[in-house]
Amino acid sequence: MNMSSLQSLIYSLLTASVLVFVLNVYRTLRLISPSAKGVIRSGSWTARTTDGSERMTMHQRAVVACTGLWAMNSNEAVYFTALHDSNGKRLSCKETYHIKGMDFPARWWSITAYRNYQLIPNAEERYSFSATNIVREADGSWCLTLSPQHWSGNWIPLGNAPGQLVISLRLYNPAANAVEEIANRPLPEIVIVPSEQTGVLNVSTELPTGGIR
Amino acid sequence: MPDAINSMVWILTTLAIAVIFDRAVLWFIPRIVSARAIAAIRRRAGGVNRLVFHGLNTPMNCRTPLSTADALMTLCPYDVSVTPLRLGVTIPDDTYWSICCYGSNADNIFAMNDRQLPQRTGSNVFFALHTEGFPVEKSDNEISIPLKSACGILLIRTGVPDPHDQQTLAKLESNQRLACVASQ
Repeated sequence: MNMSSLQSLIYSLLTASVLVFVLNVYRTLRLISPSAKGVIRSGSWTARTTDGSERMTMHQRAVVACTGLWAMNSNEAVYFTALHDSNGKRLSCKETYHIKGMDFPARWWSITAYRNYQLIPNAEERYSFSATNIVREADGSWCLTLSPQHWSGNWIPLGNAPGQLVISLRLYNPAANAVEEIANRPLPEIVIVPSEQTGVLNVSTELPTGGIR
Repeated sequence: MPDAINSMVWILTTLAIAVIFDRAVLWFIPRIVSARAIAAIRRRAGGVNRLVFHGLNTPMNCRTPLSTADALMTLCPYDVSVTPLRLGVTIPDDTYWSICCYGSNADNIFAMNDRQLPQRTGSNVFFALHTEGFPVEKSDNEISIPLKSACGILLIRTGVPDPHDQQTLAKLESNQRLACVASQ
């Protein structure tokens, strides 16, 4: 191989790498767009019904392996993820958020907070709330607070380090009509709490005796 | 003219390299990520076809992105290429429970929860994992799991109603620790 052929091959490889990179950035953006096939979007929450299943495309399989290895297929669990609050602002571990809602159309559910996709270390050892341990109002509704500051009631501590907050809502054994139900009754809003209100214990739901710490 | 031909050859070569590179990257990524995770579990278990009780995920014991924090986990790196793997598990009462198998490409190739089991909860259930088409001598009370992938990982999840309720947690943990490899 002469020098110019080698040079041409190197240019070819570099160009091919750039093409592959650009193509996969485009595919990833398409994968999370609301119009993508199999995507359920409700407010800040997005889920893909094909995650974990054998119906995934090669690209989706690679993304799921890197961002949520060994996900269950959508008959068993649907994973909603939120990266933005209800105003479209990127979620941050430095802020305080309220999520107010009712039960979801599933046998069991849980909401978990992550910093940069990892569980957040905290002294309370509290990473999530589920349908069974969330404290509710008399009408069955609940209010969950995610904050770096101490809050009473359903509080998931966000620790002290900054980072991208990622909230995951898992619906275990979703109802057969879960998608329609979510379309009719949207998933709860993620509302940022103004900084002047943070640090004040203003969550109406109180701790149950002998229950949640 | 030769320059135009050379340019066309270069463009086609580049596109061919890009297609091959793209397919290869997308094929390898899930397999490499999964193989690395399975290798770590295999080291903990002391080999394949052995169960390892992991318990609840915490920031200290789990670096998997978006890992669940409200389910007890038992894992088993399986290899059923030669012989089926038989497992005995005890199903808990009143909580979500599931058994899932993932192939070498990380696809969820099998999933069954406690409500789909023919047996009632609280009872011992036996599973036989084997490759599709493998002749398995099935015993009574045994659920056959035909797998498309001879190697992969099995995950048993038990939903924890409240991770801070130590009494219930201990009961669910001891229940899940009863899971064992019956035979290979």
